[in-house]
Amino acid sequence: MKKNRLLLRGAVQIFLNGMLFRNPVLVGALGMYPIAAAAWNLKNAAALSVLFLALSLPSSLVLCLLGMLVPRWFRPALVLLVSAAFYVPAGRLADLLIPGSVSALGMVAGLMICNSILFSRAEEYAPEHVAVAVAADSLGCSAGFALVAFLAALVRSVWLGKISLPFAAGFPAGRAADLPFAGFLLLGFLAAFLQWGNRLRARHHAERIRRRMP
Amino acid sequence: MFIRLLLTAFAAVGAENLLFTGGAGFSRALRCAQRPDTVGIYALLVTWFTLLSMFAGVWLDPLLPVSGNAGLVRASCFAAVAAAAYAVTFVLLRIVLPACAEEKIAPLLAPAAVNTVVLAMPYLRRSFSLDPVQAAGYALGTGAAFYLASVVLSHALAVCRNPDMPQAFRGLPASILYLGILSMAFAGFAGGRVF
Repeated sequence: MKKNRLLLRGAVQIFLNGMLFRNPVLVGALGMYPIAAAAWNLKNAAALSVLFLALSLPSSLVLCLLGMLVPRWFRPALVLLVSAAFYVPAGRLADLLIPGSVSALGMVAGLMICNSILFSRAEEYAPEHVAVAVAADSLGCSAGFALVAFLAALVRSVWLGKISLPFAAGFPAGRAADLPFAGFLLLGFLAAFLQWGNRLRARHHAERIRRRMP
Repeated sequence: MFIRLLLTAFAAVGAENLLFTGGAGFSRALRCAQRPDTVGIYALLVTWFTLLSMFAGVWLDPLLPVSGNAGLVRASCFAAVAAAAYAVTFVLLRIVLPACAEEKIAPLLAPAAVNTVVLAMPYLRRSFSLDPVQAAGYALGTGAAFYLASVVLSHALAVCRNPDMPQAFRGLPASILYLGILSMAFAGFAGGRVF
């Protein structure tokens, strides 16, 4: 019972790290391309999130099972093959939930197969951890990726004038907001915000430990 | 023929730059820039894999469905070819290279083979309607663009750790903003088109 509770607590911490504190996009600079190139409206952000989850979770679990059975050098190829196999059902699922989304994403959808978050988690993390930790990590990274994609899409939709803020706040910045550079600039500010939050958190944690000391 | 190859290579480094204009491959370029001593070998490997991926596109594209649900298979096939290219290259290098050189190259092989720059090649060949010579030029140019991006970023990373900078922006956030500004310059150069 106690062991199960510890496992669950560990899984929750892994999930939160992937989603927020060690967000792979904002802390690890991984998987920036789909967000910079395609997360400029909410429909694209939703499609990217579904694709990511549907590719990441099964690929990581398969690599958790098979990763240690193949030679270390072959793992990258195996990750690519496994995520390529899951791309067809993932694409169908995304199209089913958000009709026309995969064709709207174009090349970006196909390139999700070699997304660097997915690759690094499935190749390095999954084979050396237990299935619960791998699932929690994969779900956390998916939530983290989706969070950044939706935030970026929301801000860029406001810049593009597609979403109007209450009291007519904000301003449309024109077409440029859907270009990759706007995505990178936004990601830079989001990464700075998270770094600031993590520093505050670390300081708060250190203070709490200091207070507990006799 | 050589002139056509050269012009497409220049286009890949300039206005049609997949990295700065298209925004692809920066996760890898940033990691490559963190180890300046291996930038050259990394970029060479990326060039090799972009060439292989591009020619896979030339040969496979007419055989694969483009639209609808069947079009999803296309992406999977290109990824499978990239996986095969990685495995074959690894085996060949193990046979050809001495152990010391293999130790240096082997860790770079996987990230050079599995990235968006490499897998984007067949899509770009199709959207730009490149013939085989132009396709080779574009792949070579993209390798050169990756090298230039990594060199620029390796200098930028040092600058972005400047202690005078606000703590929140120091390191990665500043590097991403630097990337965004460079990308903006290229977007202006390309006339605001997207891939």
